[in-house]
Amino acid sequence: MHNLEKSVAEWRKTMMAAPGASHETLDELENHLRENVEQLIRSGMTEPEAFEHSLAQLGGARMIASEFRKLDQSTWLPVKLVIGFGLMLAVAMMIFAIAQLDAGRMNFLLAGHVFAVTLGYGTTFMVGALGICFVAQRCLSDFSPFRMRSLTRVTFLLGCVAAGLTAVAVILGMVWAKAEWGRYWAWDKKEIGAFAVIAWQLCFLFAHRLSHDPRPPRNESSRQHHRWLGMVWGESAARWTS
Amino acid sequence: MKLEKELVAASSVPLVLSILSEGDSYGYAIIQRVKEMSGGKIEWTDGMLYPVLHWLEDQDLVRSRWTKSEAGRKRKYYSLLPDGRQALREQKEQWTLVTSTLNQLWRPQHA
Repeated sequence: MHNLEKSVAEWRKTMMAAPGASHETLDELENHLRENVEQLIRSGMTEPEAFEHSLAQLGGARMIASEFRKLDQSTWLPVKLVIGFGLMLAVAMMIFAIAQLDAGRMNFLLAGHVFAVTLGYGTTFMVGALGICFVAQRCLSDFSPFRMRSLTRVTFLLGCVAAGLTAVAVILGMVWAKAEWGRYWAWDKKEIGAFAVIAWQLCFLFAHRLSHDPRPPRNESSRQHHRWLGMVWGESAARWTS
Repeated sequence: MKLEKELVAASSVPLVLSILSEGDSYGYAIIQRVKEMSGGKIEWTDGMLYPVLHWLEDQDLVRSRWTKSEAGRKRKYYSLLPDGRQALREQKEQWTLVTSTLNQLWRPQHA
């Protein structure tokens, strides 16, 4: 006597062995399998036949796993490099900040400020680096709409991270300055620089949103112009902050 | 007639986006709809659809949510997002260009 539950459990076990198969994905595939089995039984097949037929239609674990693996290859190489560099910078700054705290050379506020401002400016620089790569790549070949969308999302996210970190750094710096020097803000060179960087980052985010309006553009040239504006803004910001 | 593997793969995104533009749907129903619309001529290996759906979700073109069917079974429904509508418009333009070009080339005088 065929036991559907047992067969499905065995199938799940096989699928679990495939790399990249999450529980949620398996739930979704299992649901599909069961719906197909039910449909085939209604059309006159026996349960074992329906199960075997549904399995064949669904495809093997290796084939499905290889299709899912292709999803990971869609990230543009410069984006991978920038994210990798950002993570390394974050780890290095974390180690540096902890060492400074341990040695008593910095208090928590100053260490936090240095950590956040380095990462904030570093992330702004990375958005600019992506802008340069974007322009260089466009000279050779165009981007697919999907890659363009993915890049748009990543640059906006990085822009938000950069603005957020810089803002946190400025606030920590202000609190530290009040404790050390008795004032929050005095418009010295570094403070004016930080203020300008935040203003620049906000302008970048605004330009980015402008270039990413999901409504249909009035014409293709206006869309290209907006995208160009967003990218060039990022590049200029990176040059300026560096 | 069976479609070439490459053509099936290339047409999967516009097909899925077009079906989702009709309303929210889930994997099994999407495959049934494709079969129905193509008169059974476009047959996907069912498991290939899910990486496509997950990719579309990753690109913010569609959004998913789990709901319970009348039979009490959990189903993952996908719905089109504004970026997905825009992507569909772009896909339509591209496919229309290809088909109209081929139609012109394959008119009797060119055959």
